[in-house]
Amino acid sequence: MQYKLSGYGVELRSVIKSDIEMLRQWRNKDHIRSMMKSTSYITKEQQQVWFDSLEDATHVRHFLISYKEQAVGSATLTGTSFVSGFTDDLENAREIETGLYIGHESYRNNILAFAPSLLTCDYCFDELQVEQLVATVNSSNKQALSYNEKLGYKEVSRFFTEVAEQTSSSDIKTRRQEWISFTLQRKDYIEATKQVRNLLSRRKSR
Amino acid sequence: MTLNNTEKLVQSFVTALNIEADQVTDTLTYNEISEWDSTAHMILIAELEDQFDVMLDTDDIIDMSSVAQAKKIMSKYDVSF
Repeated sequence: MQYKLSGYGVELRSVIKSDIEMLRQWRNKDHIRSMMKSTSYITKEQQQVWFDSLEDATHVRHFLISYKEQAVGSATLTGTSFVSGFTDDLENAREIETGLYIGHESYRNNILAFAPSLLTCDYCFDELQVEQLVATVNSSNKQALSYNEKLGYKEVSRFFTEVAEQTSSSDIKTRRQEWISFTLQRKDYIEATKQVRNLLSRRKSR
Repeated sequence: MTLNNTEKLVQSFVTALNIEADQVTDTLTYNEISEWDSTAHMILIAELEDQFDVMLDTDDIIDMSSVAQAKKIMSKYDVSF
């Protein structure tokens, strides 16, 4: 099933096959890949397997973000079980994990990223009626930490993972990476984003 | 004293971002300095609207990612620099 969301000047639609190579190239950019839970380089074959796996997936929705009819990034919603932490059908999930990146170079340093975030938050809280949103951020990603705070997310815990890094063709070393888990309640979201929602909801005047 | 348009623009950035006037150059971009974050951006929009008596639309607010872009966008509202 194809989904489409629009508002705050951007449009989100379900990822289709013709998007996946562009998404792969964005996802493999160093500044994006290094902030992911899995930092490994994605091959064309792996990307195809990932896309094929979406066909029957009900717990996750991947969106392509467009601004002025130009693809600029990716947003993902994953249903998770409140108690177990396992994935859950998105329509019935009590909690949804959000993910987002802006891949288009022209919009990396731009307030634009707020637009798809606001759109997906509205969708999750108002249409899917989830209890809370969750996000996990690399502790070194200062921009994302500040960004999440501005959306109203509250830190709930920290944890570490071991990240394998290939330093040469034969040399692999592991690095300890700290992650911060956040949750977002509807009331905090509404309060924290009141001004930016108003600004990004304006109609065209000319 | 009446400010010209360039001075009004610089003053808007100085007030919204709480920075020095000499930091307001065409190449200054959103998130390049910690002072220009989303909160400051919203204040900046309000300052520019107030200084130039205009109402920016959503695309302008998103596209205003540098001082140079701010000038370009304001020129669409018949503000010349």
